[in-house]
Amino acid sequence: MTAAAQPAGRRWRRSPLAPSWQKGYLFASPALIVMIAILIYPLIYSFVMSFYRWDLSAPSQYFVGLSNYRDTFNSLGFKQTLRVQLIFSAVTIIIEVAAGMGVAVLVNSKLRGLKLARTLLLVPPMIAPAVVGLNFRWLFNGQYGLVNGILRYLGLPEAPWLSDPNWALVSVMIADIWQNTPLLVLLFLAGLQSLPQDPIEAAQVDGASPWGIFWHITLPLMRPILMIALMLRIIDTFRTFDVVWLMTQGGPGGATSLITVNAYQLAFQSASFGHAAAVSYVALAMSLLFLAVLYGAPWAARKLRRNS
Amino acid sequence: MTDTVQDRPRIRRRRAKLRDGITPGLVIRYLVLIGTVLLTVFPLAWLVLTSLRNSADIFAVPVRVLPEAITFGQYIAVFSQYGLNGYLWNTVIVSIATVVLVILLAVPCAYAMARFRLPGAKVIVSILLIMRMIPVVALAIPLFAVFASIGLLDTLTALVMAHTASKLPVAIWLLMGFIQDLPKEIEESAQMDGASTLRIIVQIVSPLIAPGIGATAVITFLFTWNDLLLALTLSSSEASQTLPVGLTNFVSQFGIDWGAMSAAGVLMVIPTLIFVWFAQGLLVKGLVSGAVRG
Amino acid sequence: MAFDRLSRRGFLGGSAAVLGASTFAPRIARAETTEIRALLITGGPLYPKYWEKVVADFTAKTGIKVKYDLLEFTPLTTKIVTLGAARSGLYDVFSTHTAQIDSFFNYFAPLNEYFTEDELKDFYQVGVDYLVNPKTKGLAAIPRNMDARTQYYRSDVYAEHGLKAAVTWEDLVEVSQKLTGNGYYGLVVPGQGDPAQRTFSDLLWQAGGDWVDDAGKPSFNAAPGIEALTYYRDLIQKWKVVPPDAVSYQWNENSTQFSSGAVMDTFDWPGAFSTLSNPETSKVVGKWSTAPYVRNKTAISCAISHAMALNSMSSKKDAAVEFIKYTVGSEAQLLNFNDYSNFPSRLSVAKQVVSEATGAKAEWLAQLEQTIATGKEWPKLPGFSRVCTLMFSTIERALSNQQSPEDALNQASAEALQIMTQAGAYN
Repeated sequence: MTAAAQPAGRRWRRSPLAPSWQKGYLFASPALIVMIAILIYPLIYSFVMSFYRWDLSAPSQYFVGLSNYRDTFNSLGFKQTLRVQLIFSAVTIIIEVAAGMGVAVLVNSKLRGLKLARTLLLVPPMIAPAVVGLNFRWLFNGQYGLVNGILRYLGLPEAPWLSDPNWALVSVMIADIWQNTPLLVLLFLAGLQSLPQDPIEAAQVDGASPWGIFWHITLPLMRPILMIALMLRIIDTFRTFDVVWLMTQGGPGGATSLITVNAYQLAFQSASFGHAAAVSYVALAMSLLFLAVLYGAPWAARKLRRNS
Repeated sequence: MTDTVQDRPRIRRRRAKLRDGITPGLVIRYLVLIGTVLLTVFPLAWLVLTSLRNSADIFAVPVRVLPEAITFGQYIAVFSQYGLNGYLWNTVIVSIATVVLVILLAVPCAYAMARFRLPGAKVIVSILLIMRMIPVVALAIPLFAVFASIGLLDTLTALVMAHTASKLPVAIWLLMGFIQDLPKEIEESAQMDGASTLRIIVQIVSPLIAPGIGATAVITFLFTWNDLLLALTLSSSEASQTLPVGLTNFVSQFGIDWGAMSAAGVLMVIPTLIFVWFAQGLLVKGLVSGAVRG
Repeated sequence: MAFDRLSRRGFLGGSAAVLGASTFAPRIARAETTEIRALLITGGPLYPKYWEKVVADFTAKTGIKVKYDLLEFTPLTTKIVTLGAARSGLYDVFSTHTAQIDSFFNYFAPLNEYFTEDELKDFYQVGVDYLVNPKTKGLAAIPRNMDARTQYYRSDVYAEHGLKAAVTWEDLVEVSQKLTGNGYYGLVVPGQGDPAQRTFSDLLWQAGGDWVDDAGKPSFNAAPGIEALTYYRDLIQKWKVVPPDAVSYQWNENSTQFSSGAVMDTFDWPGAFSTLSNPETSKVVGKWSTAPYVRNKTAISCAISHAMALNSMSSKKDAAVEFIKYTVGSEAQLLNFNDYSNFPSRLSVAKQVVSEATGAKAEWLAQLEQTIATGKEWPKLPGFSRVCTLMFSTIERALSNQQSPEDALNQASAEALQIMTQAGAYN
């Protein structure tokens, strides 16, 4: 029976558990309608508006084609934003994934207190980024903050954590790393515990070094989980807003201005909604691009290998 | 994760440990564990310590690690001076209403997506994933315009609706996974007995995926509780401002009152701590399985 | 209470409205006594009491109820921007300010028809002029109080060191250097966002420059602009007489540094006179004096105003205008001055308070009047509000040594020209 021959009949001839798709949509529809009305419709609206002049000083909205995107890429602020975003994403993702993996591998054995540690590790990823941002702003306060207090006590030079452009970027990255690494530790721990033990034990019997075992056996086995961790972090670094906003408001001088911060400022300070919409879609496009590279690169490599 | 998978390595490791005794490797493992825990805890401990100080102690130079005297003055101040109870009440209402709505809407939708071969299901799933990727700021801007046009700005209703819609993709995604893991046979036999789909969802599937529903509820609650940007954009008065917005008011309105800010921060973190402590298993399951299925 | 509100609006009604698409009519006005909504400014711990009193008095007089919400300067602007973009009629009255008024020219209803020429003559002209839309000549808002800055310095410490309040830019560096050390700083200036632009703007005029030339093209990157920004940066980075965190300070942090006693000199708004005199908000009560703003080639600084505006989408314009008129009336202005030392925008009220003042207060008022007399504001050309946000980060970049003042200003000027051209400033 070909699909083309019986398009209507196919739908009705189902196992008892696969009843009509209409009924399925009936159950799915309340949620779908809510999402279409409150999520998808506004997002499409703002996507369309990213091709319009939409600000308070213009008496009406009018079509400007790609001009908002062109302005965005030409503007001084956005070039800096792009640089800051790429540094922020690259550094935090690398450190978080590497540290998460390192800690997970090292504590993945029968250690006393591991259960309590796992509970505690769940706290940073789950607490409000707003609290994290303000708390780190307080920790890094130049005059009264704990971090400089400790440095002073140890006789080390103090750092201008939030007032120097480079240090400010370091500070917000530290806050982000503090908040997100623990989740990766937990993710990797769960992954490690579901790995088959036989190849590892066999290698141990063969006298392989712990490093060799990690590099040649554990890591390849963990590849799927690693990809997931990278994916999660790529998505989230392009969405980060609260922590940075409350620590530095993107300053000083745009030194910590991530794409989302830039979009927020364009919208709610410059009242330039068309530009802001364009910038936020650039953020989405970039995270899609990174994901495409993440998943596309191994696929392309395989394909090349097969062809050659 | 089943017990058998976990137990096997556990037994083997125990044997290995007996064989090796205390090794340098073990010492390193413990050091890493302790170091990680200390790094995790100390910023939070500082938040708590700051909230228990009086203002003079907070602005002491050099910084005193332990408070001179413990005072609950900052906690009293956030309620008496800064009207935190209003923010707290709003946040509780918005979070709970969102959780209820999300679960009511997401369970049937996830069931339909998992069990009925819906035409276009793949498209829906990929849209759900893209929704998860969109920066909140991209949503906040047009959502504001939509709510303004129907006169719902600055109401808790608007916040609940915005949160419900924006938390639905992840909730449906999570629940789909839990439903797909169920064996179909139970539902099939119920259907043979003439149970309606609604009854199957309510009486059979829901109890079976109770941990999944719990995990989804906890995650939805916490992400709603923590949200800053939607509340910042959609609310403008104390009638609908939530705790994170209240926190930002601390910064600007009164110079930065670090003591009161810390006390408010601690109060804000308490529900998180409660969920982490009592629903740890659910949370990890939700976060990890959601991630793994991604 | 909140729950009440939630159930009254009704979830189902609410969602049905959204689901039924966004063309739904605005919510139905309640047929009770007239109630208007206002979004008003706050800042510092004293402001809320002022509005409480003004609103209560107004309701007692007119029977019109005012439901109001308070936001601080920056969040307030952000909120009005958003409401304006959505053409929202949620609030009838807004508290606004000269600095961002051009963003709202299309959202605020012109007040010309509600104020006669004679009535307007009682307001400081500089206050009214910069609230007028240069294209339509519509008056977008009406001044409630004048904002201008004077110098506040620690007279006790200055006397101890045998110093006098700085008069020129050079004095300021010299005096501040002598008072900097041991964790104390001679001076504080804000270095972030709008406060940074405001500070740069004052210095720009004092250096003899201006924002735009006669043709309305950006000219802030000419020699005076570079001199001003270099001086501003050097206060923080070269002479280090300002706390290094200043690049992250807005007005509140700036004022707090002085009121906490950590810093010996600052330039602040009229309200500071009152907060610095109050032991609840100041550790330096009785230890400070005022002096004129410093000068360089000129002695110009800003003369701007907090103002009241009418939402063009308001459905209760008459009641709203009554409230606006009350807030800019003599009674409210006198209260605003007597309790919170905010300087009147009405010449008649200003004359009265100046004549009644004695001693240090009289001296301060004379200094303030002088500032207002020579004061000005940046241009209200199309697109300039976007240029302002561009300037925030431009100035911050120079202050934090990421770019030389010259490079920063040149790049900003090129971009500003593009923004203003696009916005139709030269059509």
